Amino acid sequence: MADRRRINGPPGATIPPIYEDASDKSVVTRQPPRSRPANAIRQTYLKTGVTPSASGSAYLEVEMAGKPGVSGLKLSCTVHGPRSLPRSSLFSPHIILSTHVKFAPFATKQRRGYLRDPTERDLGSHLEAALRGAIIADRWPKSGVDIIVSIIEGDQDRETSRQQGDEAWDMMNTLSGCITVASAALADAGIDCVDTVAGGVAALVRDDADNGKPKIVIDPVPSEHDKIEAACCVAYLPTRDEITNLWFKGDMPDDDMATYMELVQQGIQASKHANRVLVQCIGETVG
Amino acid sequence: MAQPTLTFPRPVFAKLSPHPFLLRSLCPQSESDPAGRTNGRAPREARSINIHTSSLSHAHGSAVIRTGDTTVICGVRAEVLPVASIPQFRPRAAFEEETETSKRAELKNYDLLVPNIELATGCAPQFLPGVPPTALAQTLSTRVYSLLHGSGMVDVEDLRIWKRQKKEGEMEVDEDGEEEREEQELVGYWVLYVDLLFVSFDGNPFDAAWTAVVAALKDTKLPVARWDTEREAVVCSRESRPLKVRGLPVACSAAVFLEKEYGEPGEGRHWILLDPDRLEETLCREVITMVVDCSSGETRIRAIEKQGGTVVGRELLRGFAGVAEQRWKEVSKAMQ
Amino acid sequence: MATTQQVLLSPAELAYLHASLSLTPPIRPDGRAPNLFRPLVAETGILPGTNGSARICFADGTEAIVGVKAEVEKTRGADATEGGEDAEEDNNREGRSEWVELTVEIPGLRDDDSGTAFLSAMLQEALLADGGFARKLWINRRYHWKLYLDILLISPPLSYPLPLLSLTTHLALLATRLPRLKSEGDEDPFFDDDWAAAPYLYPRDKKSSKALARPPVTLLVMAVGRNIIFDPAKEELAVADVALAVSVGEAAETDDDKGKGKGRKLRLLSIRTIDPPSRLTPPGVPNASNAAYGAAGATQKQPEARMAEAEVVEGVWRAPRGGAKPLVMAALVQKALERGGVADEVLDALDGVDLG
Repeated sequence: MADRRRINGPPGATIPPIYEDASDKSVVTRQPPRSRPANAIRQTYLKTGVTPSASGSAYLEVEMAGKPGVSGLKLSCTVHGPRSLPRSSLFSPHIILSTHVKFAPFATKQRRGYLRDPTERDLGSHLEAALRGAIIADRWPKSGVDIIVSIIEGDQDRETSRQQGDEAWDMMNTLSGCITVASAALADAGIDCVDTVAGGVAALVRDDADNGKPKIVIDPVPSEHDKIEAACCVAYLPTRDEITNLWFKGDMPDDDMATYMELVQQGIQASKHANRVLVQCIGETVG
Repeated sequence: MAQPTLTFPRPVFAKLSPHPFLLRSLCPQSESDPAGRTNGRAPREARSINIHTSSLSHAHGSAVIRTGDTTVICGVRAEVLPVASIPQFRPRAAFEEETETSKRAELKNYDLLVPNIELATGCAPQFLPGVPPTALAQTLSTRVYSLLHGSGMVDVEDLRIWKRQKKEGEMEVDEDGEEEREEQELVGYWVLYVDLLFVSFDGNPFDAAWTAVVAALKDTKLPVARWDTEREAVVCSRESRPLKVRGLPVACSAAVFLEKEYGEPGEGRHWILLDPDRLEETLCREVITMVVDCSSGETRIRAIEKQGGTVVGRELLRGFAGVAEQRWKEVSKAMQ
Repeated sequence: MATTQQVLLSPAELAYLHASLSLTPPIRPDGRAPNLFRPLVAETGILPGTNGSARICFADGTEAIVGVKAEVEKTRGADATEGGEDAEEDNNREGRSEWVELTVEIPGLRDDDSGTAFLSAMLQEALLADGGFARKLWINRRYHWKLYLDILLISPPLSYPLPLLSLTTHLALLATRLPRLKSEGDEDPFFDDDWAAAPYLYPRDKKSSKALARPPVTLLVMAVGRNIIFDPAKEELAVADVALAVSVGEAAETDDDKGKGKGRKLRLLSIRTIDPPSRLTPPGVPNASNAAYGAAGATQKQPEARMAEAEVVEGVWRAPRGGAKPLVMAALVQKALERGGVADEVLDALDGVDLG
């Protein structure tokens, strides 16, 4: 599809590079198994005020698993608002949130185009639900706020060349990063919120090393585990002890509620860890 | 009766009446105030550049550029274009000489370099997503595209994928001891997608974008590719070779600020403001950009663009070449 | 999102609804029990050109049609060259999630609208969560079935369309048949012309003609105060404290489950929170700060208004803030997964539809 407004490449389709050892199972190096304890998240770096011309902005970097000091997930968020709505829109007693999540073309293994695709819109819906619970919306009638998250680098490790299904678990990690960075940007913009909301991910994984017994870990990286059975991403408000957004996906081995409850609890724990980083960063900005 | 005077803090004054604000700053009323721009720089002073390369792990080459408040991220991804997918592909016959012109034509005709600039990331309040690319974004992309092809930084030979890997320095020798001319078959090209993302925008996007492109291309490493007859596809090995980039063209832009906002050209004073920021760009209609390359020892001008007014003439252009040279030295040092 | 459509209820009506739904037991506007579904009309086999189709009409007038079509596609990529003897066995086959393409069409919305993208992502997630579905589409090492599910909402979206679309998809998948394979091994596939010999995608028991396995179904559950309410109508959603979309599937029964009582064992496949329209509703004004009632404080400036806003006056509607407590959410999920509960009834009801 030729986009008239951008420089399009060659009319024929280009193929991303196929590596020789892609199908050779013996060569595919599995990343070293998870070295962090099951209840520790990766090092997170958060900074606000990256875009001075916006009302608020923030930048998040998560360290890459297995390579300390090298960052994996990189997100940037800008908040514009509260600004007045166009005259043609209906009266709204609450602030109108519009979230946009966009992957940069160089963010993931497969180059993404410039038009927003359904996964990005889905992430935007989740982000909107997560933030709507945190913002005090009725203080700003007839206004709108735009929250734009640009994903500069996704979480997938470049070395793993297989595993299509892992893209879905990466979306959860990305979503939790988006929630945390958007919350920091909202605080930087000075929009009233009931509490700081941070995202956390917990997963039920099965590793051959543990004789196939499933266990729950937080902040999972798909390449560190043999199989991820189920995962959930939680957006949590620590002071009020409330969840604003829950996204759970996977195949629970039984209908036992205990495993599900434990998974959500661990997700809340992950979110609390992220919240600590968030509060520290905002404290530096404000104080 | 004395009129009550209104006093505003500086940022409010800047928003309400930007032109007098900048004018007052450039030629102050009293002798004691220093003359300078609103951002504290001298008219001939550009912002310092911070370049950070190889930060992205999914791109073959990347660079993050920070000049003042402007932040640009450039990622270069290489993808394979098999010859079969090129409509109207014309393989070069053995008798045809390969000239610089024909090489550049090959690069351009097959669209092997694809730069794109994304401004709609919320980098400034006027660039919000949800709308198709604005005129500014399209203009910037086109300027980068034409400069990329015009400067000849990338040689099409580096992007060709041959049927067999040609090892450096090895020549096939047949029984007569003569060097055998191999009939190498071209199976594909590397296409370089150069994507620029503006994280923060504070004026002078072209300079920052161009520096990012050059830095990212210099950082690019292409995998070594060959044709796999079994799979009938181009396969790459894990080792990579750096892309050869010729020269180091650097862009230098300035805006012309007129004393009289609306008036006859030629009336009043003017100032040349190097590396304008967002406020200055909105106030100036005339812009001049010069791209120079001093890497070969002598200064070569790769491009001159001037639009919007009539203040800058031949004399000023010559003087501007000196300024551009200075900028080249700064940027060249930052790239090391 | 579809839930953000303006709900034209006044603050007084919202407060009334909320109060009546918070009672024990809750009094719903149409007098239903909390876990009673509205009657629906379902039929299959309405589109002769498809491999499977279904149509469901809900009692509030919303209607959806789903058509399932299948095409044989060549498996590309490295998977085509690998595998071997063990690929023939069921458990070593790998299905890919790209073999199922789902599109949702809602009248009045563009197909790349975020609400539609959310719905289609949710439905696709539920279908592919256990990984077993894509395996059914495997033909041989070089070819597979590509399934196209087209979900159309025919009526305008009066209420949140997720449960309707999910039930219709479930029914259409139950009715889907794929032609019987006549070729052997890895040769180019060719199929039996006889449609009557075509097996169902979800195999059925020959004697009782009940399905042996079932596709998942997504339910919309909401909570108001301490009450959990299923199949909420539009008005009820407008006063919800929290709403969840829960996708459940069937689990294989193990020996020690047999004695746990009637009903089938259910498996949790995915959960998503739905942003209820209650957050966009206009707030009511308590008498104390209403100038029409002679309140002096109404003409004061901002700080007073802010303080008044913070107090909750009973009977005055205020949009919910914050989120939901984890225990409340867990209770919702538990109720949905209950053996012999709502999900069971829905699955039984759909199973009873005649697959003409």
